[in-house]
Amino acid sequence: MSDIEIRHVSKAYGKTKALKDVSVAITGAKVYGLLGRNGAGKTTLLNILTNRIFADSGEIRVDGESAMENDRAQAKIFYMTEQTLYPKNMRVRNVFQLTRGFYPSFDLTYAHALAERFQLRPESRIGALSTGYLSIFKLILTLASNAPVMIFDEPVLGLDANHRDLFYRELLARYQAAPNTVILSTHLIEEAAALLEEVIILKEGQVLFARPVDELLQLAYVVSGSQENIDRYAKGKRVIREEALGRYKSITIYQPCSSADQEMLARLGLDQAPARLQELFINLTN
Amino acid sequence: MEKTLQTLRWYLSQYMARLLLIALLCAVGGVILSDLAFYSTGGYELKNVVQTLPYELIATVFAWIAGGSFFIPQFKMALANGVSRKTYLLACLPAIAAFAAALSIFGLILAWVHSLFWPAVLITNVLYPLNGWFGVALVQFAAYFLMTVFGCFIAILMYRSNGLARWVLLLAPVWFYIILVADASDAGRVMQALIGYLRLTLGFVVMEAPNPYIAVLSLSVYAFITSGIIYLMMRRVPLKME
Repeated sequence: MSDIEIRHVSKAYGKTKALKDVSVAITGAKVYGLLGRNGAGKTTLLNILTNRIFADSGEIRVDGESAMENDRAQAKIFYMTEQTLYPKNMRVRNVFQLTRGFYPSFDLTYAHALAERFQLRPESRIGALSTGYLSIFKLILTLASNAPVMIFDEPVLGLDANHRDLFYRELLARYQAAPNTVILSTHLIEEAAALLEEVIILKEGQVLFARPVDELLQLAYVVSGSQENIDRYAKGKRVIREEALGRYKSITIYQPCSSADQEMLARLGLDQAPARLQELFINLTN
Repeated sequence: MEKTLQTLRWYLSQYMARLLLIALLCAVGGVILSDLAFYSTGGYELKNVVQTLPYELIATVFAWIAGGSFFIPQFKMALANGVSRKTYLLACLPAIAAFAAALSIFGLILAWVHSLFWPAVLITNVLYPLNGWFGVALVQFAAYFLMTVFGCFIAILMYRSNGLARWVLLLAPVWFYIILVADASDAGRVMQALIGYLRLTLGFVVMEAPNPYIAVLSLSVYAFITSGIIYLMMRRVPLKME
């Protein structure tokens, strides 16, 4: 694991400001979710962290060292990006070998075992892989890299449900075996929610929320029961979602549940449940 | 340092070795074709005449292609593996040097083997009064090194350019031709100046006794300056996907 400190990072593409004074700390062996709508600045931030592009201002430090053009700092990070940076005529097994050269902790045996599990032929050329298998190839590289910081940018792009499930299980198993810093940037929040320990939500190039998932989930709760009682309970409260089926209704309330609310819920015979991360995300970023 | 060595190793093992093999095969093919052409146009009667091998021409073109073709794809791969731009360039230069050295040594071997069947010399021997193999190898090495670095320079120039600038660069031979035509109307003064400059830097100050080591020095200085410009151009270059 490594600590990453992002300080006042700004980046503009022409007149479009992709990141505006972003400051956030990524510390310890945790699974971070980097969330945001399209164009929120997630990939820009990750690209700056991994030297693909440079910030206009601000700095990023990895374990106290500047990440900019620093081989030692970059050696601690493995970034699975949507872009494929390997020549199309290169074979999968050759990339495995090559990566081991740059990341001494790269587990070649594990990479081949994963390739077998995902049914990826190591003899295949990169250019011959479908979108799904390109994602598989890159996520295998990242999982096997054993880097202190593993970054997955849209890791399940083009993957079928079985492969997505396999990926989440492998990621969890890897993380439990050797805890490190994992950053997951994804739009499939519902699927990844169970894995995340902390979330960083970006909105229009700014950090909207950077706290543990538990804290985020405490900001809202779901109430369900008879329509009549639900409507009575919801009066004066900030409802961010409503679903009704016949006389049954379910709502998500965006505010903490006080003890008075608890009493009212009990009196009206309503059920309370934690809110879903995706609902909160949609509400926060709308 | 560790990353530099690793990048260098990967270069030499994964890429340069293969490219070198192709270059050498083409060079041998080119020499054979040249021999056949010489033979079929009456060279048979002149079998005792020393044949000038076109090896340097082929190797120079390959050196340029090598620089132009590998520099950007390998740069992207270096970025994917957390290698900084500076480390990448520092690893490139020894790899290019090894490539240039291999090309020049092979040229010498080829000429020697050819001479066992048919007396032959390299273009370097024709241009400069060199008796030993070291001087020939050194001149060739400097030329191939510069050409490969120049190929890298063109590659990074294209990479940094937008669509219009790329067209301007691609049409460089056309611009050069227009300059030559325009120059012809001015009694070829530009061309004369260019030839004079090349004579000076390639050691032909005294035509009867050209100095190859001035050429080695000049070519090395050009390569050094070009490398510096490449570094300045790539030190903050963003990753671009085409």
